[in-house]
Amino acid sequence: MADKILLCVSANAATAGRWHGGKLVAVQVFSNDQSGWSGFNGFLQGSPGTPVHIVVDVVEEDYRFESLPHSMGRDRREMVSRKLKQLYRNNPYCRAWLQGRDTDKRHDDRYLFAALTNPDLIAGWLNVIEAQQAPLAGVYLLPMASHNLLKKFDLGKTSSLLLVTQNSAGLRQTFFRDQRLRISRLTQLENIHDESRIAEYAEEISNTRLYLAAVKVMTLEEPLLVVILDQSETLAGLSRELVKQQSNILCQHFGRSEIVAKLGLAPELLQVSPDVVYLQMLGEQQPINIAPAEKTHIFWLYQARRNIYAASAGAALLSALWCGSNLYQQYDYKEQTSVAARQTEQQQAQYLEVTKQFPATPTSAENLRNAVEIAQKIRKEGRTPELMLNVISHALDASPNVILKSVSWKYSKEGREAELARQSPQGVGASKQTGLIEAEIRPFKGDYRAAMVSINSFAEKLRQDENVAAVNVIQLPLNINPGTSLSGNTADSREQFSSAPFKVALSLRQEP
Amino acid sequence: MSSSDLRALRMPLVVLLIVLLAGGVLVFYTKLLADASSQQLKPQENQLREARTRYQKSGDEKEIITRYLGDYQRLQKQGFIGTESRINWLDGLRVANQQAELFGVEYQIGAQQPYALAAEYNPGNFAIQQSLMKLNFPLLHEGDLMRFFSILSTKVVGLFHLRQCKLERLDSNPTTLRFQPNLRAECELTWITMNPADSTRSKP
Repeated sequence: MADKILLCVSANAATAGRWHGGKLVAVQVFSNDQSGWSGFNGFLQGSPGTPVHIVVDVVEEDYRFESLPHSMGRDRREMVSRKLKQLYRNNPYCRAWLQGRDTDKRHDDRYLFAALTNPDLIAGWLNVIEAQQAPLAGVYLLPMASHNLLKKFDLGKTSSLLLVTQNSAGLRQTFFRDQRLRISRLTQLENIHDESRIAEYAEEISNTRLYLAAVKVMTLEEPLLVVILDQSETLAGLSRELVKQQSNILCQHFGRSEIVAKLGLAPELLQVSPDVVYLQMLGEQQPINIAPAEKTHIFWLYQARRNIYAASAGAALLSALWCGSNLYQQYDYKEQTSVAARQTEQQQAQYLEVTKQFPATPTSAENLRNAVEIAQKIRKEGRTPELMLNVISHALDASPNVILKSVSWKYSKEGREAELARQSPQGVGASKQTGLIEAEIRPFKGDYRAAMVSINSFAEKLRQDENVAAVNVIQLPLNINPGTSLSGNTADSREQFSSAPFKVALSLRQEP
Repeated sequence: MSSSDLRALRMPLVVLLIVLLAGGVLVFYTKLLADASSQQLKPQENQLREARTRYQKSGDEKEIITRYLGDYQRLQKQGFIGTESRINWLDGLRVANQQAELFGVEYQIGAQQPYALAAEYNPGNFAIQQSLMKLNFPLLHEGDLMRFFSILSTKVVGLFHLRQCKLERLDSNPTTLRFQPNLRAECELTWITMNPADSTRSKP
């Protein structure tokens, strides 16, 4: 099964080759007539569905080197298209090749316009291809395919180079200026005798040089390197003849063995046809295609199918890699889990071994500590009324006319702190001791001023205690607030003024 | 692109679609498998970390046990750790009343409930409970109040906090006996107990 079918078509014959695994593997020559086309039909049937590349080596070709204003994108395409129509009218086998830009101020784009001026020359071959529904990949002009030869023979350093090959179509001379194709000529030299071949070829090359000078591509004084690819080993004397006849000319001759070595060709293939050199170049690298899109539509479908299958294969490969990565991760996680489980068991066994020496406990060590510390904190938080009773007792010692009726003591959070403590899960604020003293002044004979002095004196005694934070007399025997009404009797009656009750609220300082 | 072109490309497009779908499903499924394994690994690693830490700190643990076990057992005996024993509490009240030479103590014990300030102590594996109690008892003088609670705290009644007390002078008859109550005390206290969650454990 071939990867490509390569066909070099000349006016009289065509050389077909199969390309497989990066090299030319079979070559066959067909005449350019009905029998040749039939033969080629059979050749194609040997590799059905294989893309076909055609390189054309005929006289009916045209090359024009022109400059166009620099443009990009759609403008460039439209301008080049207009130029091609102008040059070649309805001929679809034409193409422009951008060669670079001018060095003048305008920096115009330089194009090589090339065309196959007589497409009928390849019609027979195309009919065979279309009948087979073989994908036509492209039609190329032979000089364009020869560009790759410069690299193969390491000829890139010379600015003016004439490549001379003896093909089945005739003598092909292709001129390169600065490694860019400028002009190519095919000379069909029929009925040439071997003895006059060298002289005839030398004359043709001389004519070509004169033509180059005439079209001002180069001057006659300029040195020219003539490279002769002698596929048939018949042009050995051409170099000598050229050097003898012309000045400023250098010649380089490559014989069959060198060509075979440089191109990596099988020697027996080169014996079949000299065009094999170009089939090899075409197989390695396709030049610019001049075939119209409708002729290569089957190849477009072929490529689209291949690309979609390649995308499918790529997606399958990517999925497989991704799945593989996931499965490897899963395996790795499982391994790590089982290793961790084993290590955990080991650690637990070691721990149990160690704890055998521990005393028996009703709960874990952490719980032991926690419980004891909580108990200590709760104990520390506990308060009794003892301190408050002592404070009151000291104050009473200095106030003999104050008689206690009751004492209330409370230890809790109050006000905002109590609210915050209820809302916060961690608790906020400290509890404090507060108290309420209910007492009276005895004896009392109606002298409210003296009673108030005694009450205030008692309250002051309380305040003086260092444990007391605040003292508040919240009820007096007599309401002297000007905002309220007041009534009574000043008669000196013992029953009426038996006591002068009052209430004092106090709070103790918080203990650290 | 014409319909005939699409027909020509139908098979490769179907193949591409199948590959994309199958690949996507397989990738998704294997990712789920990997994620599930990853989820199993995390707790196992945590267990290993804990086991290592526990083993490394076993020396500290022994020291903690040695240091706190006695106190813990004392708290158990005192009734702070364990279930609330109301029999012990009533015994304690009765004995304290006798030893303080009081005139009898009226009591009222509410239903046990979670301790309101438990969160302040970070109880961890313990549940701190409280029972609100009201005591009402006559006194000869105010000094008996503190003596009574002091005696009560030495009994097997666990921990309790006094929340509030009110001492009120009784109207006494000057012609009555020498030992008669002059004051009445009304006190409210919180009886606190703590229950470990793993109380059945006998070895660390």
